[in-house]
Amino acid sequence: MSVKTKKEQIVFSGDLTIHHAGELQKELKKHIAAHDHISIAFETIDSIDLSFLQLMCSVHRESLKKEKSITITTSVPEQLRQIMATIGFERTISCDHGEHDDCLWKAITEAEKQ
Amino acid sequence: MNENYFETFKDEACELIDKLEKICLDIEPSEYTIDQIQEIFRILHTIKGTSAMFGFQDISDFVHKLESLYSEIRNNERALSAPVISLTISAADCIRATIEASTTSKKVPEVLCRHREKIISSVEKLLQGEEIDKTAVEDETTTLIPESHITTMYRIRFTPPGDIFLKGINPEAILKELDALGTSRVIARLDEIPELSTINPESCYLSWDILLSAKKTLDEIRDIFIFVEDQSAIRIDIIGTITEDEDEISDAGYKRLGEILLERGDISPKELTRALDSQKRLGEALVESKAVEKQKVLSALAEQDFVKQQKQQQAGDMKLSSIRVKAERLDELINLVGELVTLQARLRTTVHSLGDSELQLISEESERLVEDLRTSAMGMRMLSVDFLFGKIKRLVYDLSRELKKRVDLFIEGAETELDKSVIERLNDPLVHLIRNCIDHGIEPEEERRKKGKPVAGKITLRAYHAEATVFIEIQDDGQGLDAAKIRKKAEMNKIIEKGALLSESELLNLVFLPGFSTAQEVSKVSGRGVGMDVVKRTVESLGGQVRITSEKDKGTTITLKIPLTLSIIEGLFIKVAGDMYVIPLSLVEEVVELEHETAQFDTRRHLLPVRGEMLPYIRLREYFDIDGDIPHFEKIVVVNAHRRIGLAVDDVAGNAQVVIKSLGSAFAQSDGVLGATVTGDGKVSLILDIGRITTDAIAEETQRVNQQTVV
Amino acid sequence: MSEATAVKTGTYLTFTLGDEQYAVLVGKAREVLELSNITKVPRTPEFMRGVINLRGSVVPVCDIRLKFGMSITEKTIDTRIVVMEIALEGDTTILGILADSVQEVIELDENNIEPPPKIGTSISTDFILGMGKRNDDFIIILDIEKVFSQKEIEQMKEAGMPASSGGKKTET
Repeated sequence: MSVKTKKEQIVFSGDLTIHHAGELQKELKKHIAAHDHISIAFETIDSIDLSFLQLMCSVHRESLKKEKSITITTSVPEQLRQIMATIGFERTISCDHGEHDDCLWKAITEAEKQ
Repeated sequence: MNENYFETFKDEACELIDKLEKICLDIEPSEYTIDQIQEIFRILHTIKGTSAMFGFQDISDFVHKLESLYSEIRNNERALSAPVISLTISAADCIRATIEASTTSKKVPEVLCRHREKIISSVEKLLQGEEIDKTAVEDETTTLIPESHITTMYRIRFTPPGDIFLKGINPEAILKELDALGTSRVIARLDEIPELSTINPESCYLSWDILLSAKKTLDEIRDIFIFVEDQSAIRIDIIGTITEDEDEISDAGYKRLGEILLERGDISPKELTRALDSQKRLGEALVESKAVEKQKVLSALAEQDFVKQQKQQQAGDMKLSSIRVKAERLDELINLVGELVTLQARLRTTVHSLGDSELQLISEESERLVEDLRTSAMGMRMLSVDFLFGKIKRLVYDLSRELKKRVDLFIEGAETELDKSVIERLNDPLVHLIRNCIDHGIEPEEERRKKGKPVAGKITLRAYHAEATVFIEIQDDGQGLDAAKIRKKAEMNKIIEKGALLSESELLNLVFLPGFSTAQEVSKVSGRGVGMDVVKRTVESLGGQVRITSEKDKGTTITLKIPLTLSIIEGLFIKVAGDMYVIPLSLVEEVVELEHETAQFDTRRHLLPVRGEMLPYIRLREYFDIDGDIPHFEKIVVVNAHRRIGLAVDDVAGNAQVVIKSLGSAFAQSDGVLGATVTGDGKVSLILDIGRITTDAIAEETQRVNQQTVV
Repeated sequence: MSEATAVKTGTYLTFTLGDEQYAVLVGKAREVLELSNITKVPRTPEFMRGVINLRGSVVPVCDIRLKFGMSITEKTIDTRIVVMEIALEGDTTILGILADSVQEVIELDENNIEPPPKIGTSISTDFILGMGKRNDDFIIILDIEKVFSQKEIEQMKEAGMPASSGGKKTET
């Protein structure tokens, strides 16, 4: 696993699984605290599991609460797309948190469809 | 175990068992040959060996027993008896069933084990010299695997324990296993995920609604959850079945949204009534009144959709399997219908000349019927382009790896139908176009990044209908074609004159001319000696057209316009020296009049002005060496196959549907003629090969230009 | 088609080309038609007279007089098209041949059939299966498959085809 941060950008690569979930959370917390805008990028990913997706969801929720924005700047890696399909994260309508009609997975699903 | 190895084993074993069975059925206890016994022994021995190798120790042991029995028979220590044969057949069934069962689950069904035990004990009895009852092992094998023909649809709600990750279990694997049983749709419920500051990243907060349609029993589905069932909340409901003899899908069979939510226990009957009273769409009303979370409604809607889709798919499958007809018989039918169309045309002509209104009515009625008959007969040969596009998916996958370019393929309108013979012939052109697209169209990743485009290139393969035509588009978001480069190359190759006045679109379409290739260097992928001209020729031989549009750095779109069917086309009748000829109407742009003496055209160059543009033309009379005088007024039919040219003819006589007939092998190479058709008056008219005539006309024109320069 | 089988006793359809009588095995002939409209196919050898409509099918018609070095068949009241079913390289092809007149269907005994003469016939002996004798007349029994063998057709195509792709250039 590697998380690089460069200004507001956070770059994920390598092993994004449960084994590194703790470290990931730490890095993400730091990053969110430090920036108002968070941009996410992916580099070569070795493996990915649902703990990562769960964590991303949680990052998103946090950002909504703290009124920060998130963008994904690279294309979504194949592995992420695959696991989204397998574990049912593909969305056409956002989930229901608070007043926001905003969902990370919906955005990705729609971007893929276009 | 490696899937492939298992498949090989399975195929081999089943083949051997089939053979074994066949011998057993042929053999007579009173008169058998030593060869037959040898063969049985050999088969058993092979099965024993391979099944042990593939880890089917139980099969191997079982066969071993049987083998010893045959070893005794072979050594003349025992006679082959009827019970031995029936025992062998039962054993064969049992082995087959065991292998079959292993493909779907790891556990061999109980009933099979019991049956095997029974056979083994009978064999042992025989080996010990005891008699066995012939019926002792009578076949219950046929019912060994209750080959379920009923597809059941399940709704599974699965909430794993929070510490499932720590137990080393990945829910993803369970979901995959479920999907392997049949068709599934998975909806994850994310409402429990906390915010980053409070989340325990090693806990699982997810739960799932899974819709599964499979030919499996409830127990078989429960088995998937075997390692997690103690700590998880698992609820499995049957929400419907699909049987193969269900031939009508009625809407009555579908549950309403409210019903589904009630069943799931997501809402109470009271809440449902209130929401129904609100006059709004149920889902919205429920969410608004906070009776139910949006996610639950989404999940229920997904269920509704899933059930519908599954049932429809089943209906579709059944339609496919309903009847099989040989392609030739279909062709025969199409031929007969073609003849009928011809005869009908003749009937109409005759009736028209008689002027009897009653006859006319009958003729019109019959014409409608013939038209319907034709449409439905043609429909039988229609296949969806899905088949074609499927191959392209694979090609894109391979090529993008080979060329190290990321490419996403989007397919639209795969259900569009085309005549079978057309589909077959479209394969090569499509493959070529896609190759070109990935090789030359889509830029390397680095370049795309610089241009600010998404790293992955995008290719869209789209099919759609418009009247009697199907359009197939290949669209990429690559670098586009460079019109200036094309011009330079065309001038260099003497395809166009230097500085010739051509529109951008005309320039782009030059790439379809023979001997043109814009690729800077010939690459392994697209430089296979098949050029765009071949694509064009193939499409034209199908009576179609190719167009190309492109914008620099935005991408290129190539559109193939293809008639629905090969055998009947809309034709324009033209007259030369009293004979009728047919031009495919799809290639005709306009008809203009040409008066001989007044026309200001350059006779040496065979060019004439049409709407301010100098159009090269060819006189059909000259092209075909037809004697006789050129009439004072001629018609020019402007056709556009790969280039616009004019075709000078004596007269134009209207259009009609014509059935294309081959001229037969005797005329296989007749230039400029595509085929023939029988007209209403029973005569044969030739259908012109406009693509070929255009090529010849251009060649002739070039020759003339060259001659002029020499002079 | 081996000669041994072809010259045996059989039923033949006889017809005339010019003054001579010809015959083909009756099994090869499908039907006899009156001369109807023949649509000429451009840019094909002259002996390929064109195509006709046979109940909705398009059938080519050949003028074998031209193949045999005679003049083109003139249209008379007796002119007929004999529609034949011939095997060409495994495929059955249907084509018509022009005859100045069609005579009758006759039985020919193999005693009355002689092998093709070496000389003295107006057509190439390659096309002749044998010479039938009836009363005092000789009937030339044709090997119709040979006449239309692919090799023959191709040779004739080459010979008959216009040399270049261009037509007459009346205005050049």
